[in-house]
Amino acid sequence: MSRNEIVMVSGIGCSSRISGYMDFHTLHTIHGRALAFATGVKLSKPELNVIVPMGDGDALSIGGNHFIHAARRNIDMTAIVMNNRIYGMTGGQYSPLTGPGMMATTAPYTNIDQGFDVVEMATAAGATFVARTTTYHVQQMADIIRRRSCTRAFRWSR
Amino acid sequence: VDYHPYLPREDGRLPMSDFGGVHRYNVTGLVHDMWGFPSDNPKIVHGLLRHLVDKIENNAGQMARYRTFYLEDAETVLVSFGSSARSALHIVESLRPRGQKIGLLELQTLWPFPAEVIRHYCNTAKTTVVVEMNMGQVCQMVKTTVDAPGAGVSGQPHRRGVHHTHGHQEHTAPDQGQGGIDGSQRLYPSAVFPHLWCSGCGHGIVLNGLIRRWSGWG
Repeated sequence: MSRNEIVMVSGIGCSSRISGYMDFHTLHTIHGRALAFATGVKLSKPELNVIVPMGDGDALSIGGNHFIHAARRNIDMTAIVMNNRIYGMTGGQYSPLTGPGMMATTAPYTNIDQGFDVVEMATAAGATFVARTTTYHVQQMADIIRRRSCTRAFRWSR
Repeated sequence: VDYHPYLPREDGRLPMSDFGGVHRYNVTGLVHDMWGFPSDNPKIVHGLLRHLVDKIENNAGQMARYRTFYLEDAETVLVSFGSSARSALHIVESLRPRGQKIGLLELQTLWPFPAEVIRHYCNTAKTTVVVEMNMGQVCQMVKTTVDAPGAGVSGQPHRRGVHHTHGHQEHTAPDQGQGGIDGSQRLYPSAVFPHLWCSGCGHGIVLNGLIRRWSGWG
């Protein structure tokens, strides 16, 4: 696969700066809307491989609807959610995956909200390749990304 | 890299190529350099802002939407926008049958300010009146535009803007002898008045202000 055939579309956040560090066609868009922009790229040029790195806040709260419907439409692209359980770059606000009992700038007396299982949600919404790994399991992560790149469907990991 | 997707060409446009082509580059909403990568270098920031501002200002005339009413021979031009344009049109249409050469320029685009359009329609008028329901922001813009050096094509030195604001009914009388409407004329149809105006739209206040201005009450 040539670098010219890969488009990386990201939103806003620590995670989304990744597109500026890669030598692909890279598109740094607005908070939560990376999947919407990526849908546009894929529709206009279906032959391109679209990768969408997102953070947990970007993908699940601000972009929660885009996430569900990108999975439901089964668009042929790779969504990667990098979960650090916080909105980091924007100032440490709690995210949907922060979990109860954790302290954040917007939860000074600790967070009272439950998190949720994103794998279950992606599966329920219709994603066809869903995997979860951690940054500690480097080999497994590389393996998942390799396998995902051979599946033609909406894919999600982490 | 010798490919610069964000270096404006001679016509001011960018050579951005399609994704999937041979040139790979970054697209971002952050301030960026000519390769598309984020930058906080003051020179680059200034260059980008200049480019973006010029792109809008140099094409303001193309972006402007407006409507004109009875402007072909108008000596008095009302400039208005939004709901107060309807009141202004009412004035124009009630004065036309009395032989007053009055017309309306209704602006539908306020920003970028359509200076070219204003000059085109107001420079041949004896009097320009801005009818607006706020603190007179557009009146100031029109004055600046019409009075700008080199703006006059009809050789007339000054035109006077008038503005009416909700709750203020502020107005400025135009210079005597520069046109305007004979104060002795009744400006409204007797069948319609007295009339109850709803408290929200301000049409009554605008109309009242216009009538006062031309009938010499104010």
